Amino acid sequence: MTLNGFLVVGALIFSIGAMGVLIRRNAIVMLMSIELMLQGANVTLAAFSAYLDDQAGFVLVIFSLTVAAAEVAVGLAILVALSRVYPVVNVDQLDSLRG
Amino acid sequence: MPSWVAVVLLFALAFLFAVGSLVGTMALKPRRKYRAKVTAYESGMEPIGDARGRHSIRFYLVAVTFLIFDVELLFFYPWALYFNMIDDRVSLFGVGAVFLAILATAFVYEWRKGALDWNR
Amino acid sequence: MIEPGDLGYVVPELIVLGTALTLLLWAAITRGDRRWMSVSIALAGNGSAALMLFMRTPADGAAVELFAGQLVVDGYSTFFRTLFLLLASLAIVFGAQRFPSAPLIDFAALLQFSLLGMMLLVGAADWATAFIAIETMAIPVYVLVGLTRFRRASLEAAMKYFALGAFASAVLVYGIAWSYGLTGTTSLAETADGIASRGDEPWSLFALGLILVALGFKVAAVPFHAWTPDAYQGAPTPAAAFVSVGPKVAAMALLARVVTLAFEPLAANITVALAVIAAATMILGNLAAIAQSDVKRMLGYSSIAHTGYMLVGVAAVSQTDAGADFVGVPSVLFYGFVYALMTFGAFAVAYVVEAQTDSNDLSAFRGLARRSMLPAAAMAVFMLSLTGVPPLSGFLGKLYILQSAVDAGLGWLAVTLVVTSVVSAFYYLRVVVLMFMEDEDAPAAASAAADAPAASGAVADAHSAVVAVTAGATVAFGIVGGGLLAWAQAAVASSLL
Repeated sequence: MTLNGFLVVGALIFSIGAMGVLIRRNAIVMLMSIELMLQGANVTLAAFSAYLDDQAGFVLVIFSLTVAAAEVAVGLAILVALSRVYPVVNVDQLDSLRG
Repeated sequence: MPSWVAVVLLFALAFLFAVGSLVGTMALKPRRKYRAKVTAYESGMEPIGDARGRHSIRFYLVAVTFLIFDVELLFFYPWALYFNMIDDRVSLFGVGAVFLAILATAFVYEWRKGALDWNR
Repeated sequence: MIEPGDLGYVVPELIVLGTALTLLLWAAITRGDRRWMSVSIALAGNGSAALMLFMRTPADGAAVELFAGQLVVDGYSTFFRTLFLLLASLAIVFGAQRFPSAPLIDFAALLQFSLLGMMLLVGAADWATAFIAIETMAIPVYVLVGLTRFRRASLEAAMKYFALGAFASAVLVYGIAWSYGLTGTTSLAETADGIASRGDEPWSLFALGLILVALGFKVAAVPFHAWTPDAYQGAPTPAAAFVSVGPKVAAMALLARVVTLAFEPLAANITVALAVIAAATMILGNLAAIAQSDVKRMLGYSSIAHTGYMLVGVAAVSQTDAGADFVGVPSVLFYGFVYALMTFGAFAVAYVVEAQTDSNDLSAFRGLARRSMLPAAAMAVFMLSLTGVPPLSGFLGKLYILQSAVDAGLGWLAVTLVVTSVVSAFYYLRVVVLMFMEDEDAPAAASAAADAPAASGAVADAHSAVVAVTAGATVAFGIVGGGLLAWAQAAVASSLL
């Protein structure tokens, strides 16, 4: 498979994730969609890194995976805390902040 | 006959068999429903509760804890690989030690705050 | 590999990391009232970090590249690091007023981690460092916003801020991936060479667009601003004060470095894009602020408007053929500095009112001058300075931004800035009028004030000091703003831009 194939796959994964964040209202699904976006970016990075025969892209992938883990940990923690105060799954229900 | 035709035929047959047997059963089977037949099979036990019950929120906390420490492990693979290729192993070891010390600090915080205590 | 000499330049960052870890350990192993200890550790750390910052600044003022080009120490990063150390120190004193012992020490630790990210971010010379630094800055801030975890509003704010922030991070990584693929490098300086050899082909613009969108979220530019008012309104007030100035100015600093360094060959496209975004941000931020009745929410929209003003400066920067007296990047630095101080001060006064009346509603400001004169006077200074009334620092900031916009040939943008500033006078001055002109409508507010738990004397004094420092600086930089501008100009002259 050529570079283009990987780029298309990366772009598809990224766009599916982005669509998920924008359309789905379930908070857990939104978290998963954000992960999907990051993985799409990682596929793109790894593809470019292999194509350019350069290590920098792979190193970035490792960092990006770590950051994704830290991010989702904080996101889940916020959700858990929220579910203790108020049982909520849909982000549309988060409406107590209005001007 | 090109060689790929065999593969296509195989997949076509497999697909037709899967779909055909599903459709065939649906068309031919007698429809008789009674309680014992529609309950879930639990190896002879009476099923208890709903299969779609919610998991305790604590599982998320454990998952989060696991996730963080699991991903940090990622950095030790390149670190370990690099160890044999470099002369200045003392400073490389120091880097690893500092990394572990930071992780250990986070672990102490987590432990003392009771995040590992299931009954809290 | 790490050169021992390189570590000498990042001693301030190492101290900040050390204080963050110390605070975490302290939180874990001690019990009882740890408020004094939290504040002392954080302040001592930030103070010595600031001291080391000036001792380790390169003698000839030139930029020094560290860690194989990952990080750069230059005047630009030193300018912002000084500001961030000051802001984090003010925030911890502010937090001591708001939080009891246990959350305060967590607040301090998270603040120090975020500060570390901000300090690294303004010195990032490589996309890898920039990405890790921006996340180190942002992730603790999500928790800061949700720190009062038994209040639904706080957690909602954290969730919204987190969702959009994480979305922006993913977009940023994707943009970095494309920039890396097109240029074959992650170094900001070398990216410029790669982009220059490609010209403004669609793929370069695609990478640039993704990165601009991601940073647009981080600085809260329209149309990526939706999280801002919710996050500020729901967050505990000290966290809101810090979030509204620290991460925003740090992201603005990265944005300025990115458009003047990495994507400099696309300057013409950047100017158009940023000018349109800046105009939309100024107009929407100011118009939406008028309709707000919650003071933190109003300050949220106000901060969006001020993002717009700073973006005018960044848009003007891209115009490379400007004249000799061109202010350019230094105007953004100046504005970032004075904006941070006056907005932080406004939140500090908002907390004084919140502590008295248990309300963030604008009506709670009614007759504040009678109840407590000093906070009211300081709030008047902040509001007038945010409007841009001379001789306060907000006026000078807008003046320099206007000057660079006109020099860059963006006259229409300068006009938009002036008109929207006039509009902003409406909601800023309304607060001043409420505080000074109108009497308290009912004795209810007074009795609420009497019932409010009075903070112990020293802590309240410290909080008054925060208000006094920010108000004093807002006045002082308006009168002797030339000194700050000279520093900003020297910082930019000796930097990797």
